[in-house]
Amino acid sequence: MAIPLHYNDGQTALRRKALAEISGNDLVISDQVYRELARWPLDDIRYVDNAHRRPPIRLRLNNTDARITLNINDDGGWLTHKCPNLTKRDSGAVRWPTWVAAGILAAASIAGIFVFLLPAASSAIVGLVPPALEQNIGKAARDQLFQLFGRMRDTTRHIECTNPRAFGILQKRADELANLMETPFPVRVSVVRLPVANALALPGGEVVILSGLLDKAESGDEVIGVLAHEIAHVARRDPLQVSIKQTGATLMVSLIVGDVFGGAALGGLAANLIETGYSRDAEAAADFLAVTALNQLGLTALPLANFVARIEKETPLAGVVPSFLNTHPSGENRARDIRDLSQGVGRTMSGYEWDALRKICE
Amino acid sequence: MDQVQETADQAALTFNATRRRFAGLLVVNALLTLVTLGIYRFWAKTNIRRFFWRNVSFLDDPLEYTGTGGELFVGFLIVIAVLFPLGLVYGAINTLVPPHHPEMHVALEVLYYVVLFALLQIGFYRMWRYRMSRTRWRGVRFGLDGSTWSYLKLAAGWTVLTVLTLGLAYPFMQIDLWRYQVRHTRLGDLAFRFEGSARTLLPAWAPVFAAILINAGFALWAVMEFGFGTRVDFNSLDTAQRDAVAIVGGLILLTDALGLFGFMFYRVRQARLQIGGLRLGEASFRSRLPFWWLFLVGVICIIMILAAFAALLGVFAPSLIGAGQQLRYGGPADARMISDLTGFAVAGFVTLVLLIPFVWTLIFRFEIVKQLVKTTTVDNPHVLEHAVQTASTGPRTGEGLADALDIGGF
Repeated sequence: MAIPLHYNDGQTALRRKALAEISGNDLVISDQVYRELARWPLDDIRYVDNAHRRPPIRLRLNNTDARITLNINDDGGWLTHKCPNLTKRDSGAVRWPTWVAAGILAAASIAGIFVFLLPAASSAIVGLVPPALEQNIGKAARDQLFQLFGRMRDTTRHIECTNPRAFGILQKRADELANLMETPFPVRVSVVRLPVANALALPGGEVVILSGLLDKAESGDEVIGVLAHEIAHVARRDPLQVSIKQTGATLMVSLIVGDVFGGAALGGLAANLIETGYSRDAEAAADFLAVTALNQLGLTALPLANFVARIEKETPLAGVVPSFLNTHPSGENRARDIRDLSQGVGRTMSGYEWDALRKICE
Repeated sequence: MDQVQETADQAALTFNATRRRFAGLLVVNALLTLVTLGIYRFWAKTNIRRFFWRNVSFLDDPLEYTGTGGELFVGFLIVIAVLFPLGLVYGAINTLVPPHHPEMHVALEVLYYVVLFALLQIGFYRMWRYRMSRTRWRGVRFGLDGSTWSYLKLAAGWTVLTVLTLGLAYPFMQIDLWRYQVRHTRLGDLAFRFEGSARTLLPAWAPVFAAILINAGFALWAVMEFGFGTRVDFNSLDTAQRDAVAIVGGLILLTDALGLFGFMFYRVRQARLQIGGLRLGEASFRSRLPFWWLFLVGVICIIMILAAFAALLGVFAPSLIGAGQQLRYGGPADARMISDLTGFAVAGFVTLVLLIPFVWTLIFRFEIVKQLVKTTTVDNPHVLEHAVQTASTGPRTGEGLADALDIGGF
């Protein structure tokens, strides 16, 4: 039984009425006076569009431009029964193992960018940034941060705690530590009225202590320990390196995700999840530097160890801002290493001084 | 039936898609794109194009889209390899320029936009080249010749002219760029031409141009009244000045609303000219793209989206205000607050990122495609049947740049 159909030969855009018949393993297409136009092996017949299999059904011959259109509702089952490769791709097209290999390679190179290239590149760039420029960046970052804090507390006036006596205690120790660690620029400490137990180092020697830290700390020694740790980050220029790394990561993520689903906006968030602040090595190095400096001053680092271990146990969701110390890896291990290194026994401040420091925000 | 068609000297493009099928496609695409963190978007785009192409028929035969998601993905990887280092270098230079040299920052900013402009034009033209090479009718491939570099130069020249003339040259730019694109487009060996003049668009463009001039006039007035670059505190003005500012503000708002409306009207007229000027040998195209119907559908769509926003805010406003006050007075964040905020974030994400694009695409963008196709007719259509296949199969990979820059829609 001949099947009526339309035939496009792939050479021109003419549409010819034709008839087709199965002969052996071929579909023979002929015009209306039974002159043969083409012979299509059944194995090489494909759907033009896999997602469209209802009449009019369009078929193509593998790796050619020729097409036929069947306008019949009942094909007698020959199509689905005798053409085994209807849904296959062109044999010239790339095979799936190639795609899998390309996919793995792509994933590996993207991972490589995040794990090796970004940290290495950001470290290299930090070396090129003059300290004076980093100080300017730090000042701008500090102003922005304070504005943000101010908005959270609905005021900009009393966001900074400046009790001169308490402040003097902090700044004196900060200067000693910065001197010993040879920071590229002087350290400026600020205390901000915010109920979060946290401290952070910004680029350019800006160290910010949130007042929640003073409430959570059990002694002034703990506060100075944390301060020493942050100053160690300053000396190593870690904050600048992290911000460069996160900028690169944001760019990368937003390129990968594209702009579907607000990718550009999510890029920053995702980048922060991937590049979570300081690396484990940077933390360990900062601890080492901090404890060494405390040792040289003859001060004890054991309170820092206690504080690190204690904060680890508290619920991470307790803070409004994601707690800085949460990003520090494995508090228990850090505490142990700090205890092993600590040699000093001296207290960092007297009981009177600790009382004064705690009232810095009053 | 075939006999009738072969003697007819006019044929319409037909559009056979249904929103029901399109909705299913959009849902599957959105879910897969979500779980693959966006990587599926290349295959999603391909599915959508296949859908639209197969539902557009001319002389009883549909268009065929032969592109694959894999080609788009590889094109994207290549572009990433170029754009990412470029971005890093730019970021590094930007960091290294000292902040007390504003003129260097301005120069960098200008450079950034110049490069972005060039990339946009190149990305656009390459995208069309890829799409045309993956579009077939009756097995015969379309194609786009011409050089990306010529297109870029043309676009740059016209953009400068458009800026200098405060927008008067805009229709001429659009049509001239379209002319370049059309003249280098072919079906098999048959080259398209474009016969049409942007002058016929001037009546439609005049209201938009007037709105631009009025805005510029107001800006000039503000500079004369208050000086350039000064930030004016409304409370420090005297009564007469306040009245003037209020009146001017109201007038600008009105002008811009009318200007926007005028632009939509113009845009439909431009599309009609762009299609209506197409020629292919003796065959010529005509378009009756309706403005009011599209405007109505768009307005209904926007009302639905605003309603979704209102519902979202209505549901979450009480808990958000509560949380805001709690934080403001220094209270700690508790579990209740965190669950409220999480709920808001999730609902906001679903509304903003899934629901609104879904509604917009399913209703409005679908309607644009439908009307563009349905209202197009071709005189002497059988000329197209004489197209002869050519050997050129087009670029191997697809439109990475256009994807990275997010142009081109579907």
